[in-house]
Amino acid sequence: MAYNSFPYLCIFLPLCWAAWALLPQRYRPAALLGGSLIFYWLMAGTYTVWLLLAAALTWALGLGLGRLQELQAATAPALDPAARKAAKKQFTALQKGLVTAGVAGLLGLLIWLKYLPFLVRSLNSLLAQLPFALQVSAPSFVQPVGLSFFTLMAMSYLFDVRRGTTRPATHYWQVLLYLSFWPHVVEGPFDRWGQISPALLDPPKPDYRAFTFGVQRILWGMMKKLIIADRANMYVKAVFDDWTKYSGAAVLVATLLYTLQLYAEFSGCMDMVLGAAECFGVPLAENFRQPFFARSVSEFWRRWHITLGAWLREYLFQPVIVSKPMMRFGKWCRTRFGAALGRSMPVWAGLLLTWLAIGLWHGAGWLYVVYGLYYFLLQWLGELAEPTLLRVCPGLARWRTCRWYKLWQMVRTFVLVNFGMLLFRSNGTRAALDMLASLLRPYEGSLLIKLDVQDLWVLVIGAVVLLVVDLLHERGVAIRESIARQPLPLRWAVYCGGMLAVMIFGAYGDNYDPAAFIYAQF
Amino acid sequence: MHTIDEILQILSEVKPGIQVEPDAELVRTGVLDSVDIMSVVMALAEEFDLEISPLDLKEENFHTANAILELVNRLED
Repeated sequence: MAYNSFPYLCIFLPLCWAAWALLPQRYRPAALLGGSLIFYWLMAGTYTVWLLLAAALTWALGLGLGRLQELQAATAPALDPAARKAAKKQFTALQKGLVTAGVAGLLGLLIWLKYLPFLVRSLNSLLAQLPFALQVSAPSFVQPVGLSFFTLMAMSYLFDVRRGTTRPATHYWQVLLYLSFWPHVVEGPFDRWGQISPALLDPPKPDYRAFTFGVQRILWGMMKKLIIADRANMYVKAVFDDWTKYSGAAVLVATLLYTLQLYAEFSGCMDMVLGAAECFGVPLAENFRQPFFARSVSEFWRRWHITLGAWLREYLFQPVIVSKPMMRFGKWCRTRFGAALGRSMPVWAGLLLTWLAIGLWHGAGWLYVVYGLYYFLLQWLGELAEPTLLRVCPGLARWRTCRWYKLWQMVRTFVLVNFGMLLFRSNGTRAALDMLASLLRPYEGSLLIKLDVQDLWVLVIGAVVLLVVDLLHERGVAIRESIARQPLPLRWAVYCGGMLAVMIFGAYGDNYDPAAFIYAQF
Repeated sequence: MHTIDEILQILSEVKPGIQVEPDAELVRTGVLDSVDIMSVVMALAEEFDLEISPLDLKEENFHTANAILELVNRLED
């Protein structure tokens, strides 16, 4: 049951909302949990058991952490300073043990179901080099939908409880609702327990404004998905799946269209997700902030899939760098290579680890490792080059405020991101290299691959509309608030125009292949 | 107690070419990104022999040179 399907939009969502709105306030969380479990069961069937187990582990360990913190707070005042210090050490060790057990369990589940076949394949490739025959049989699992999302959210819950930034849930169903909440279980965003639990557990009253704003956002997401992404997908699929036939302009157009497709689809899905949650008064985290206005790749990743970047920054990049082994590594580098490298090398090591994690999060395969390394190299080279550039060209610091220089930085970032997109969409590293080389060869055939002229026009106009909307958002214009201030006939003209656009220009029906959401497979 | 000059000196070593006022916004204006912040953290840890935990790595502790100074003085206490 995809977020853009008829059963979801016309049956599931209205029924859930009606149940949520009509039930007394104290039973509304039950409506959300019931809806979430039905939705997940329809998507994953018996694999729902993994979600139930992950929630049980997270809840039990969170409760344990909370109890230890309470016990520590209760006993500390009665102890003398030395005993208090010893008790703190013991409590810290116990809490670390619980968090380690939780991470091992959740990460183990993720590795077992998502990465084990890849690890076994890689091991077999190594074993094939040995002079004797030895192979390990690769297990075959079906990866439960949303696995990469709910395991990481469960880990963030444990980390936050351990850090004392949030209180643990009292009941199992509360953690289960947090992890399984249907708008974010398939493609995120990675929401934090402390951020959404108040609205999940103590839901607000049904609100006309929140409902209409939510529906508007769902409609906008539908437009992006059906009019732009699914139409671009046909061209992209034809070229990338049969790359040996194409070169030059065809590969270039396919790469640009894939960037457009992925942006329209993923941000469109987020609009549908955040819009649905908004109808229920639940404020999910924003996952996009006009990424193509970024002036560097690192800024691009602070604007694209924001919650994944924030998760990795907060729970991997930063803790790894301030960890004791990394501090020791920094000292070692300082004595060997001087102060500047002693400061930078641990940060680069953390950066490499984070980019590899981003790559591997997107898929279990060497292509994704290369994808992560590509962005690491871009960011690392940028960091290395900056001091040299400033020495060679002292005016650079002044240029940065110049409008044309900013535009050049945006174009440069867009080009670099497109290379990354080509790598990401290609059928393996070999295919990516072939396609890159083929960009230099002329293409003699027609550029109308699987699409006619009208389709291309729809895509061009769709891309322009996306750009204008992003530009307005970048300038701080609140579009939905602006629409809400208009007279009723004008408002409804906008809504009806949006619905008609989806019905008339949406890529569905006999001539189109329905495309599944790309990020749902992660 | 440390001085703002020590912090400004560290910032200029981590980000050559920048000249900041003690109360100038560093994070939201893009002067410091997350990688720069971690380089500042490494420099602070080394220079002042501090133990910095992940909980200290909040944006509000790095948004101005004065905020960094407050963090350093707090951690030393």
